[in-house]
Parts: sequence; structure tokens; C-alpha cells
Amino acid sequence: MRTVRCGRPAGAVGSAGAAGPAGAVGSAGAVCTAAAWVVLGAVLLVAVAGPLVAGSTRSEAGPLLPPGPGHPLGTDVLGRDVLALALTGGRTVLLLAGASLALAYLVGVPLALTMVGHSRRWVDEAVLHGLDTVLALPGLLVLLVLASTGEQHAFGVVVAVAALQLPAVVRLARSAALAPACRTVVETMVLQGEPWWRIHLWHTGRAVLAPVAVDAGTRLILVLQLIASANFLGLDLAGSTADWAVLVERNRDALVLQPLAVLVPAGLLVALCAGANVVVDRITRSSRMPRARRLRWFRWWFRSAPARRDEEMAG
Amino acid sequence: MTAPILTARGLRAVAGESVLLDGIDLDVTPGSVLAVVGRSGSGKTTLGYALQGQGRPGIALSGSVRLHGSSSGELSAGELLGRTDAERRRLRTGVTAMVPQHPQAVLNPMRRIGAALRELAALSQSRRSARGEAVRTALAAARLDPSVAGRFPHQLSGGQQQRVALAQALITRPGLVVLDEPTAGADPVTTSEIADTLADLVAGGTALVLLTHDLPLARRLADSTIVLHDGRVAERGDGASPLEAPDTDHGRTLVGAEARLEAPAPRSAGPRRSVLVADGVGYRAPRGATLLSDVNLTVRAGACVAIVGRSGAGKTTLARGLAGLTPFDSGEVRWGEHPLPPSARRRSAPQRRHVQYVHQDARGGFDPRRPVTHQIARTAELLRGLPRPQARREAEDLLAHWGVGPEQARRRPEQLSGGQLQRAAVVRALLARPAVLVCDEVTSALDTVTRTDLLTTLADLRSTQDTAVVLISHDLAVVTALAEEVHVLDGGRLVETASPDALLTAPRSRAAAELVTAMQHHHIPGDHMRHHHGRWRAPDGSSEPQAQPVPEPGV
Amino acid sequence: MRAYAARRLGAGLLQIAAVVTIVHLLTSVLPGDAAVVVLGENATDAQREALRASWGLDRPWGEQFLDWLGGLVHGDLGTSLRTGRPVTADLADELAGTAVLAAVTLACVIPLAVVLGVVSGARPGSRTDRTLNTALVILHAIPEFALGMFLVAVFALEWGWFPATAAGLSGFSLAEQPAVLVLPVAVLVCTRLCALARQIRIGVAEAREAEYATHLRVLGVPERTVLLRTVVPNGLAPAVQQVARTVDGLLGGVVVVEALFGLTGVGAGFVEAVKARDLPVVQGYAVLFVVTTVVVNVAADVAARRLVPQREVVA
Repeated sequence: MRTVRCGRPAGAVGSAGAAGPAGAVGSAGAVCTAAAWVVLGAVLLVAVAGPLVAGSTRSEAGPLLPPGPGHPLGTDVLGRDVLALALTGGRTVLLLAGASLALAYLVGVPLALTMVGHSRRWVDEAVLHGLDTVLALPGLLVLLVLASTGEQHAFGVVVAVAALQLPAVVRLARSAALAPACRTVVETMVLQGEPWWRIHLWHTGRAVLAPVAVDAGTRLILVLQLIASANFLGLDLAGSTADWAVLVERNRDALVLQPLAVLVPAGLLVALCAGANVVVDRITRSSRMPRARRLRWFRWWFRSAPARRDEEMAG
Repeated sequence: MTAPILTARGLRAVAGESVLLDGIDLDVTPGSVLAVVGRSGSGKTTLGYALQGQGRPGIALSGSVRLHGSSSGELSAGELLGRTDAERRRLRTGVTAMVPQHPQAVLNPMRRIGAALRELAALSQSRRSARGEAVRTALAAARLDPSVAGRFPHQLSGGQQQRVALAQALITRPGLVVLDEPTAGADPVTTSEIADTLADLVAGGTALVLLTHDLPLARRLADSTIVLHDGRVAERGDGASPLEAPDTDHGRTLVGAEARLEAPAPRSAGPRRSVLVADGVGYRAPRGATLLSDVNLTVRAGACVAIVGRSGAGKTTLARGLAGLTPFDSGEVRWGEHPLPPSARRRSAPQRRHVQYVHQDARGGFDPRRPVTHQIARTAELLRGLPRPQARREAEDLLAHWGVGPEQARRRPEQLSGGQLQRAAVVRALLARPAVLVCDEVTSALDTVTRTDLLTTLADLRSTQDTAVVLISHDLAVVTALAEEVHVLDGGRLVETASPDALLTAPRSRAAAELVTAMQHHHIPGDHMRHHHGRWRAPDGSSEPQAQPVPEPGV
Repeated sequence: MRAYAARRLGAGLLQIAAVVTIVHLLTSVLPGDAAVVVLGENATDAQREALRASWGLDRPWGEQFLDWLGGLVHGDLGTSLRTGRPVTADLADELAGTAVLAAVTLACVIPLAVVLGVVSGARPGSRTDRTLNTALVILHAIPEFALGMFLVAVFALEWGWFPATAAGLSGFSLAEQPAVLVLPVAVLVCTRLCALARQIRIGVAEAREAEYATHLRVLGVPERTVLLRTVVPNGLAPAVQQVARTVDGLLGGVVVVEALFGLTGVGAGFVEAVKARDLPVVQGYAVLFVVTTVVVNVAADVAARRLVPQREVVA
């Protein structure tokens, strides 16, 4: 009888306690990790604290001036100071991304737990199929369609992006909650007389938190990219004018004349996304999990195939 | 005295700090069977791999393992340890092979059986036609139908998968095959078939090293036996003598565990009221297969009822249905006059107290983050309304009575052994003071000694607490010693209900007859143990079991 | 098997129907300011209403939808509000352009991902593996437009190796000037590579450690044979669905890349229509994207089912 643990993938394949560099990343890797942390920290600092120290972002000087006194990075196509724009442009995209992600998890995880705790199978299937309709669609296209309606609220964007993440989040949480060992503990608790909420929300919820945390790290990057790409396409969904991605879009025709106006905000975006992704990757790699379990978690992230409910054991 | 095919001297296996094997010496002669018996954790699997010269990751081997065999006609003698993997492979091919413990896991799920076997045949046969022939021979030797070659592993039953693993080992025509627990978890009929296959193999000249805790299998096949304890050879002898007349304590413990089953008399005499009635219950799986149909069962207070059958007969479905975990589709379950709701979620607290269930996988039923006592005590808190400190005290007391001390019990589940957790699971159910306790294959994962302990204590319940015990098992030998009434399930139907004596001497249904024959066939009647009126008798004819020291609950 | 394919196809058709309805509903009911876009900001309300009436946009939604559906069945996607030409007019040209781009990208991504995934997965934890992993993680995080900007700035403007835009080239003429495609394909390949390569790596690493592979080694099969004939096929099978998701992601990426490099394609056409609030075009193109997505996913699911035999629960 294989022993499995609640909240972790069932049936860990392969040698337990695999010898080898599980967790040891090597000196080059350690440098890379440190660099990623530094980069991420710096960009976050700029994005969050930048607006406090930035100068004016109104168009004051002539357009597309090279770096000089008063504007160390030059001005953009509208005559605004590039440095000030770079300092103020990170907030919107971070806020939007963070809010969408939070909404997706706050709705998705309890939904998944309730679905699993429900005794009727058809409810489970119905909700899952309903969500699947959305799962297959490329996020950018949904945002584009939304943009074509002319609505321009930040709230609308947040809800739309959260709705796009919802199917994947629900599948992930559901699949974690349905792990066989989880089921045995749940059944035992039912026999003991534990109340419904304690079994399905508190206990299973705790078990589900770990895979969800892993997913959150990687999903943040996806959401950031989505919102930035949408802004680049000129959708201007939230109506902001100083967003990094919007800057890139506005100034890209002037790439030859004033490259800084494009490359500085683009570079900041790249640093944010890449740094965050490397950091998340390192955190999950260095945690004390046997490699086999870690690999299974990544499989969940990638896979959207239906998690099958365990058939009752025959015999 | 023919030259041995395998000799091991001073074999040692160390994993970090712990010593798994220490100073093992053994010889295997061609065409003979060496049985290595011992409790779980005594190092059998490590020994099996070590005899192939293969250490598992993290395990370092030292000592000497020499193979003397003819590989494609040439005599080769080779030391297995201290070589590179490639050299070891060359030495092993055609001389020795291994059948591991869980055959399902070692079959490639994406390849058909025939294709996988042909790839292995390529190791010793260079011509295509010869490979096909080798595949056919191997399948025949493993007693498999040739049509199996076109199927995928998941389309085969557990027994067939076991044989495929055996065929994989046999395809290079090795002189020696090492088998790790070939009959673990198998029902009696499958066990008997496997034993027959192995006997045929031996008759054909293949030597076997049998690592098992199935003592009857060892007795049937062994030409020499070794008792392993804590990585050391505790006892060795010709034939199965260590199992028939053990010299050491370890040997005696192993053997004694088999013979100690004695059902105590029930508490109250006379007609007893029924506490649970299953009336025409049935269950269909979501995708349509009927797992259970029209089963009628009555459980009386203080009775010990056994439900037996082959794998897939519906035993677990029935057990879970009684407890409310897999609600029945048809029929009803009654307590006295009132029907119980089919689903446990809808049952009231008194109803949940009435019927409790113990899972097969004890470890899976515990939350790894909380101490065992706290989890067990919840039953008393929730179903009997006891305040928390009192519930925890009662849990600790009861667990201590069952052999798990309070210190141990306050730890997390990871730090307890399988046997201890199984007891804890039973105590958790008992804290509800149930009228009916359903135990689903609670002993199949345990070794002989722990199994006997648990079952004996379960049987005690009848006399101390008037709790009815419903035992689900496929091990007929064990349940017939304890139960008053045996129900046989076959294909989802209840085909026979009888007392153990009647079942063993005159089974009426085909399924029951199959099970009984397999059990008796497996336990070589007549030689050393006599079966009389459902009780085992020791060789000296006395019906009292020998007084044996109670072994420590295993860690 | 066939039953599963039929079921999956049925579910796919339902999905298309549901999404198409939602898209039409969203874009018709929420007012887009197509009239404003065409007439300009200074048009009076009366003029706007007259224009909307002439387009038939003041009818109840149900009527509009059925009308549109009828046209859809006959292959008529409606008339563009902006240009007055049928939606399908430009579609063929744009489809060709996007098809060329997508085909070249897939032809590069899939073999490259297989090679990288197998090389990393065969030696998990080694230096090669770690370096590749970090590089892929970084590349994966970078938004397409940012990467595109940097590539253009360096390779097109600074060094002049490749043209910066492909304006003026459309359809299959793209294939005649392959230099134009290099940068766009590079952007798409870099951003899509990571997910597929990682999935393959995980599959290969798991297969390598799986008990059936270990047992083959114990039985004496040489390591090379185990790798090539067991580990790689078993490792690649779970990646089939990831290919579908790569194609999905490609649909989104194509939109950004076409906008960035000025290529004529379905994505660029879609963005233009969105900006102009050209509803029939938006609706028509959305249908196209959804149908493509669903078809690809259904095909991948069926293929995965065929390749990875289902594990029945054996009692």
C-alpha cells in the first residue's frame, strides 16, 4: 500500500529522498538567484515608491529630447520627462495584476472546495464544464473583445482578468483536494462527526494552500504579461496614461530617435517579470520536497486535463 | 554437491547511519529454492536487490556476491559488487533476474506486453525470430495466455500483471530468479496459482530466492530457509525446518504468530438482538458496472462476522456502504426498526456512533500535521459530547491498553509505525462506543506477528464490550479462526453464509469451494499443522496454543 | 475511444456555441461607439442615431443575433462598419499571413523544445539542466512586445541585420522575403519555448526515474536503450496537450507580434477592428479564433487519450 499524504500529489513516483543536487543550486546558480532577488527588489521599489519621488509627468519640454539637464533620460514623444514617467508607471500594472490575482483565488479556491465537498456529482461536472468554456480562450483576445465594447474601468479589467484565471485556479484547487489520501482523511472526519465546514474548508483548505501558493507565484507573471500586453496594444483599458506598457506603445515609432523612451519602461517590465519568475522558480526548487513531488506540482500547473474523481474501489 | 549458482559472503548494506544488512552469508544451488522469511523491515527487499549487486539510491553495499552461471553456453564467474553498472549487467544477463514487490509499477503503461518482452529478449537473442520464440516461451512458463501480448498493462488483472513481471524475468532464461513478496495482497486462489507456477519453474531447473512473509508458501517450496531479523541471519536450516521447529526466539515469534488464533467465547449466551440489518442492498459504479446486488446481511450484538471473497467481489463496497461512505443505490440498512440514511453525512450523531469503519490504509487516514491523540479524541468530543481534556485522556488510556504508549501517541503520524497507526485507527473508531465496527482489510499491510496481535485484540472486543465486529478480508485462514459466521461474496452477490467449520469442510458454492481449496492447498495439509474444527492445532496434538511471549508492537 | 472522441467533439461544439453567443452579446449590447469613431467627436446625437439605424444596430439583440447566425451559416460574416466591405474580403490575405507566421514558428518551437526538454530531463539537476532552466524561465517571463522592442533596437536598428517592419508585405509574399520573418518568429519562439520544453523535461525526468525504467535497468537493458525507447516516448506523451496550449498561446502572441512588426495578419486586423469599434469584424474574427482554439484542443485531448492509456483502477 503506497503511503500518500493529504494535500500533496498522490502516489509519488520514483525514489524517495533522491540523492543528488536536490536543492543545491551551485555557486553560479546562487549568484543568479541573488541577482534575481536584487533586480526584483529594485523594480518593486521603483514601482511602489517611485511616484513619491518622481517629478512632474506633464509635458513641459519639447518632444524627444536627448538626455540633458532637467531630464536625465530625455523626454518622450509628448515632451514628458522619461525618468518621471518610469518612476510612476509601475503602480497601475502591479495594482491591477495583484487585484485580479487576489480576486481569482478568493473566488476560485472556496468554489473548488465547495464543489468537492458537495455530494452531488453532476454539480461538479456542470461547473467544471462551464468553466472550461473560458479555459481554452487566449486571454488577450478576451480583453480585446472587452475593449471593443468601449468600457474603460479598472474594475472591469480586474474582473475580466480574474475570470480568465478562474478555470485554471479551480482545477488546481479541485485536483489538490481530490488527492486520494485527502479523501481518506475526509471520510474519517465524516465518520467522526466533524461539521461540514471544518472538513471541507478548514482542513482541505489547509491542504490545498501549498499547491495554490506555488501556482500563485507563476500566475502572477502571466497576469502581469497579459495586462501589459493589453496596454501595449493600445487598449488603454484602465484609462491610465503613464503605464510602462502604454509608454512603450506610444513611443515605439520614435525608437530610432529616442530609444530611451521605449527601452527604459520596457526594460523595467522585463526586469519585473523575469526577476519575479526566477525568484518563484528558485523558491519552489529549493524547498524541501523530493524532486518527484515537485515535478508533479509543475505538472498540475501545466495540465488542464480533467482531474478524475476516484472511482470507488471495487471489492 | 553441485556448485552453487550464487554465493554471498559478508554482505552488508548501509544507508547513512542505519545498517540494513549485516554479514549475510548464503549459497543457492541450481534448481533449489531458498526462502528468506522475516518480518517487515527485516531487510528482505534490500537483500533482494543486493543479491543482484544493485544498491538502491542512498544504500552502499559491501562484501561479496558471486555469480556462477552459464550465460549463452559459457561458464562465467563474477563478483557483482564493486563493478560498474554496465559490467554488472553483462554478468547478470542470462544468469539471474528479479521480480520486484509491486509488479504493477514496473510495467510500462504505454507499451504492450509483447513489445516490452521483445525488447528484453533482445538482450540475449540477436535474431528477430528467436526473440519471438523467447517471448512465447516466457509467457508459457509464466502460465499466461499468448493473447496477453497484445494488451496494455492496465487491461490486466493484478494476478496477470504479477505473471507478466515474472515473464519479464524469465525471458533471458536465467538460472536464478529472485522474487520479492510474490503473493503479498493476493487472494487465496491467486496465491495458490502463483505457488503452482513457481513449483513448475523449480521443477524445470530454475533456482529461486523467495523473499516472503507468507510462511505457508515458504513451507511448500523451500529447500532451505533463512530467517532474517534486523538485517542479520537469525536462523537457517534445510527444507523449512526453521519454520517447523524454530530454535531462536525470532523464529518462534514468526511461527507462533500463525498458530495463536483462538476465538474467545462471546460475552452473553443465548439469542442476541440484531444491531444492523442490510436488506437487499446494491450498488452500481458511476460508469455502469454493478458492484453489489441484492445482499442481505444481519449482524447481531457481539458477533464476529466475516465477509470474504476474491478481489473485486464487492467486499469493500459492502463494508463502505454499511458505514455510509459509499451510499447504496438500492435496498436499505436498518438499525432495529429505523432505516439508516444511506450516506454518512446525513446520519445523526447517534447513528454515526452506531456503525464505525476502519480503513485499510491507516496512515492515509491521519492528518500529518496534528498529534495522533488529538485526532483520535475528536470522536469522543463530537459523537459523545465529552469535554476535550477528558476525551484526550480516554483516548490515551484506550490506546495504551492497545499497546501504544502515551509518549508515542502524542507524536505526529509520521513517527508511528504502520501497526501502531492501524491500532490508533481502530481506537479512534472505538471511542464512539459503536455497536458495529467494520474493519476493512485492516491487516493486509501488516506482517504476520502484528496481524495476529491486532486480530486477537479485535476478537477480545466481543467479550469485553459487546461490540459486533465485521471483518473484511481475503485471508480465509485468519477469519475462519475468529469469526462465528462467514459470508462469501462473489461478483457482487452473497453466495453463501455458513459457520467456519461448515464452510471449510463442506462449502456449497463454487466461489467458496475455490477459496477453501486454495487455502488448504497452500497450507500443505497433513504435514505439520492439523486443521481441526476450525482451530489450528500444534504438532503435539494439544489444542491450547503454546504460551508465547507477546512481542513488542513493531517499530 | 470513439465514444470519447464523439463526446469531446460535442463538448467542443457546445463550447463554440456558448462563446460565440457571449461574444455577440457583449459586443452588441454594451454600446460601442462605432458611430462616434466613424463620424468623429463632433457629430450630433441625431446623426449618430441615424448611422446606427442604417447599420441595423437599433434592433433588439435577439434579432441581430439570429440575422448574424444566418449569415454565418452561409459564410457571410457581415459588413465592416469602417470600410463598408464584407468582412471576409480581407480575411483570406490576412489568414495567409498569420498562417505562414504560425507555421514557421511551430516548425521551430516543437523540435527545439523536444531537444531541450530531453537533454534537460535526461540529466536533471546537472549544470546543463540548471542553465537551460534559468534561461528558459527568464525568456518565458518577458512579454512579447518588450522582447520584440529589444530585438528590433539591437538587430534591426543598431546592426541592421533584419528589417524592423514588414509593412506592405502580406500573405504568401512573406515567404518570398524570409528576412522579414526572422525577428517576429524569434520573438514568438522565445516566449513559447519555455512552457513546452519544461513540460517535456518534467515528463522525461519522471519517466527516467519511474519504476518501470529502473526495473528495466535491473533486468539488464543498457541505459541508452532505456532512454531512447522507453523514457523519451513515455516522457513526450503527456506533452501533447501542452502543444495545444502552445498553439493557444501562439494565437495571443501573434496578435502582439503582428501589431509590433506591422505584419498583415488576422491578429493585426483584429486589433484594428477593436480600436475602431468595428463590431461585425470583431465578431467575425472572434468566431474564427474560438473555432481554431477549440479544434486544436479537441484534437490534442483525443490524441492524448490515445497515446496515454487510461489507468483503470484495479481492485
